[in-house]
Amino acid sequence: MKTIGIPRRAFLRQLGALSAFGLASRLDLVRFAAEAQAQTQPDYKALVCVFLFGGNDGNNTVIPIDTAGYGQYAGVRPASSGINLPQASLLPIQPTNLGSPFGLHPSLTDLQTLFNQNRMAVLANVGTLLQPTTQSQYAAGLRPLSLYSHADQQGQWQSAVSAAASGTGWGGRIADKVAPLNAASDFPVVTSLDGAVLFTTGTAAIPLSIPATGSFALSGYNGGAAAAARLDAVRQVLAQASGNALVDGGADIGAQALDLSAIVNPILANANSTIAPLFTNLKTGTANQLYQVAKLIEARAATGAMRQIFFVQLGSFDTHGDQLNRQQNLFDELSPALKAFYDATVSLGVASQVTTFTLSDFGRTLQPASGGGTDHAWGSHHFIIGGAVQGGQIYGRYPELVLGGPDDAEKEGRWLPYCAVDQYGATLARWFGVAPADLGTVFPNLAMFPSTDLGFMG
Amino acid sequence: MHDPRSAGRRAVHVVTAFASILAAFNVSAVEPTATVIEFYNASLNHYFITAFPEEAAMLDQGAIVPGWTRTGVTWQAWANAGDDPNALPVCRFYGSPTGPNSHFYTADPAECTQVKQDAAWRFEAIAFYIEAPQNGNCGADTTPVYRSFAPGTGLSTMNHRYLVDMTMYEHMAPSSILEGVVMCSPLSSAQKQADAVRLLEQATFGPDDALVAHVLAIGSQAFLDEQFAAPASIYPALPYVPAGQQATFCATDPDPQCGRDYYSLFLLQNAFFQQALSANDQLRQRVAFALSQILVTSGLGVNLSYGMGGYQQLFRDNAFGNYETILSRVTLSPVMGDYLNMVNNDKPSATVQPNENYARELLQLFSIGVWMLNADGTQMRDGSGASVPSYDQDTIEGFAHVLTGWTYPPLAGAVPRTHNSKNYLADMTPVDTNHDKGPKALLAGVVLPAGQTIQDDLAQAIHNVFMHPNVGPFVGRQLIQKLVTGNPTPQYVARIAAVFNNNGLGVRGDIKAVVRAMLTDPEARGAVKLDPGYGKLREPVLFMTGAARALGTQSDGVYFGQQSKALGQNLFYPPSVFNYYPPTYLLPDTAIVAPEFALANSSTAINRYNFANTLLFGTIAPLPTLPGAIGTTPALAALSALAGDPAALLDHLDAQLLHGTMPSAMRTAILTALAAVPATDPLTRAKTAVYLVATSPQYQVER
Repeated sequence: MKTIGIPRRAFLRQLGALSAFGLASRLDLVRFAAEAQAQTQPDYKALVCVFLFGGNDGNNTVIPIDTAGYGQYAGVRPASSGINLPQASLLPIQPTNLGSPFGLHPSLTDLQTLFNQNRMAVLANVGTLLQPTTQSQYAAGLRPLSLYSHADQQGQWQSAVSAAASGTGWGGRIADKVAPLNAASDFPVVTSLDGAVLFTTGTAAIPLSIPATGSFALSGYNGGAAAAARLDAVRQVLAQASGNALVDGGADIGAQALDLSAIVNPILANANSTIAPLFTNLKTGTANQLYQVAKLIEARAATGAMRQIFFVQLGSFDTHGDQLNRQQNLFDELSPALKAFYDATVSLGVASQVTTFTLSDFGRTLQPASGGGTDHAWGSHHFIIGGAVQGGQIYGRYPELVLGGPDDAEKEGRWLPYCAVDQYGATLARWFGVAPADLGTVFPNLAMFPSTDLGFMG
Repeated sequence: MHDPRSAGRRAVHVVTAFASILAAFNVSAVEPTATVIEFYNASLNHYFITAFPEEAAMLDQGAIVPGWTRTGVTWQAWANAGDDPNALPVCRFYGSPTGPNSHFYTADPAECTQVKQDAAWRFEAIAFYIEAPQNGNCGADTTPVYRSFAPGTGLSTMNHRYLVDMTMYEHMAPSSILEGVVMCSPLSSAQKQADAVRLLEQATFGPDDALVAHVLAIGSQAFLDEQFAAPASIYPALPYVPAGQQATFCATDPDPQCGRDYYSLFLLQNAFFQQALSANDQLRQRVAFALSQILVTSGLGVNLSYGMGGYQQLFRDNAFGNYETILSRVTLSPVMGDYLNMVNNDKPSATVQPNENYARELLQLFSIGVWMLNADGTQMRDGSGASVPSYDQDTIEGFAHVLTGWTYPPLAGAVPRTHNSKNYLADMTPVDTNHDKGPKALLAGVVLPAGQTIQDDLAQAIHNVFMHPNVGPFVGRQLIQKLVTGNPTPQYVARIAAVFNNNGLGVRGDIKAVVRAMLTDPEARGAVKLDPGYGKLREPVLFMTGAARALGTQSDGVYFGQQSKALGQNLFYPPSVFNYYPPTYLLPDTAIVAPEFALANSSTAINRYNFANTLLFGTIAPLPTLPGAIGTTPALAALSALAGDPAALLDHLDAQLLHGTMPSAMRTAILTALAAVPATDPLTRAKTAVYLVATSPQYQVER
């Protein structure tokens, strides 16, 4: 059996310094167990994380449209502020679990459709937290490290660790737990469209990284004895331990790349993908990434993957200025791409086996900043999409849009999160197949919160 | 009872008259005649060195004295009295039956005499011959040997270690006392070349044979002086174009590639790579490139080439200037003003607050970072062990108020307004009526009084930031990371931060002094780098220029600009103000800081192979739409001429690209691949050899 995906030194890290014989025996056991499990649990599942880099302004994403709610909104963001969305422009949604109506940003037409079809849920005011936190506790200093900093908050959203820097992300840690399900093929659980991000980092295996567009093929090896000998030498050089951790780390990545390129590139280059038409008219970066994801899901029999976690990104949400235009352009890209991807999962017959969800650095101040934008804040609203999602509802608790009001951590409308990224992730992880007993390992701070399941996955 | 600790202190400080007299006759050029080999015994946790080949072979065999294995550490010495007239005999001692279960070595004649009289030690032999330091310093053509002392828990566990690798020595600190320089190991000519190559990797866009010879001829200090004196390369002066009007402007512009040339950074990328490959001010360009990755703007926000060209030129012009000047120039740059929303940031109104974007990143990324730092760059801890924030939200708001009231410079002939239209031709201009006049709380308890002018507020706020004690370790550490090693020891950071704080003449923030100190530091210099975490992945730009310069490549830069994107570092288009990669990125599953590894993944790994394949085996033709284009062509004739002797070819590439560290198994693998190429085709042999070395992880990681 060909071994791919999990590099040599990662195995050693995982299993300790076993002899070659011991290592092989151990691997066979893992594979045997996985194959036995596969026979009894033949389901495929994927999680698709769409990270909105820069901090999406949730306050202009989901807005109350009842008179009182919209009045609060427009009181802080009047037309003169330069960032007001007129009430009539908002796309109405009526959450089945709430009495009053809300409106989505006018560019989210496709997401409105998914919400109304109960294929999308909104999670309101979720954020990084050490524990459930009150305003007075915040004022006394109880808060995540380096709140309002991009790099730190991105890291905490991706790691679900807010009390210290973390070397792993929750996507990677979920992958560590479910990796045995993929052991029959050794195909990596995690595929990133954005390189080596913290969310995808676990301890067992290096994630696969593929480009959003373009070839993933190794060029220069089209036959001939000399080229074959050259490739042989490349592989031998990669297989040699060096005594320097950086050299070994580079060798691990290179060896994995060569192995996976041969398998994955034909899938990505497949011109006959049945889902191609869904993406034909969408040539945006987000659509390109999601099309790559859909092609890998389509080829799940070829890769042998039973569990996959994908990381997709869209940047430039840091709208300190010119927010109306910039957020509109971003949503014009995001919304149709998410819909096309959902439609692709329907077409592939896996709509209820694939769940897509958004993360972002933080929300933004309700109060406008000079230049037609907003500044860094905290809790924000997110989308969860898929056939298994209990959609058409707003989970969490939407904040009072009042500066210095009951949900404001400061005085500019920086929402104190109602629920934590830990709970958000755990809800997804449980659906994905992480055993309840393992949730505390994947989300080490989960026990601080009253509920480990926010309900949006049923 | 003899106390090796006190012996160590004496050995560092005692200067022998004998050695100083001999130093006057420094004649070298003879190759060292002995190799000192270090062994380690895991059960004892002891190190041992020997220069006697028979003894090393005996330990390798493990039969008579079991338990000792080579650590990989070796350094040079002299086998015989008279091999080097300056060398002194090294006395080797072993603990007496009542003394330590350990060896001790000294090149200090007085110390040798003293220890011989110590009942705790037995004199065993003259171990080898070597020069002694003068006032703790080693002369030309030698490298310091540092001694650390692990006191252990008593006689049976105490042990000395002798190292030439400063990083390894400093990493002994948790369990050992660092006793300083005790000997001066002679450098072989190969080691001197390795150090010259490494200096050029740190100070240029890549060594070539001529520069290596030049550094060997004039020495590293003289080379740095030359580089400091070299005039700055200039980015091409590109014309002003109106922002956001590409379609209408380019419809009538005579340049058929108007959009590409003026509304993208294509021409700047080309100029960068042309100058990186061929211009003389290599160090200035390297420092400018490093600064541009600390004080980041991006073509994703500012894509007009005339503007970004001016912004990048700022770093070249100030690369050897003062960091306070750089902070001021960056703050008033219209490109930065646009990128981080300082331009047209107005005083508060009833509904709108000053924009916090530039205020926050000025502190977080450009100067002090989010945590209070010790002088060595480690995080300060409070009484309960928690990190200490260096500012809070109120500080951000204080700076945001300071930074109100600046707009674009008025275009020639235009009527100045309080919000001028977008123009990057000069620094931003003040509009006092848009400036907040209230008091502003800044760092370190400083409060700017109400009613100051917009200019005074700004200058005092920049000075407030510049004087913060974090700036030296925060900026110094990142410069080390971008020029030398991703994982510097705290001691290295502390030495550089001290120079940042005071260049020796009482000046704070002197970048030239900082760069000189960084590149002459023992952690940067030295013949051999064996610390398992030393070095850095060559970031894509430096990987490409390193390979191209080693091959004497002629290029218009186009290929490198294109490939920078494929390799994950689209030049001048970092994804955000947080640069292409964070300075804190850890090599997965380790505690080793390896920033550039954030760009290393299976996709970019494939593209590194493909870059080398095209450069060597492909044809990179001139772009027909670019006037004066020449494409990209490596000069392979010299290597091809060497390829008749594959071993000689690999010797050359090993020295030029790997500082002579090519493992024998790697050499064997490459020789096998070369043997598959017909001897009648030396060009393909040369290409194959360069491809395999340049794509190897041993080259990808600079160390």
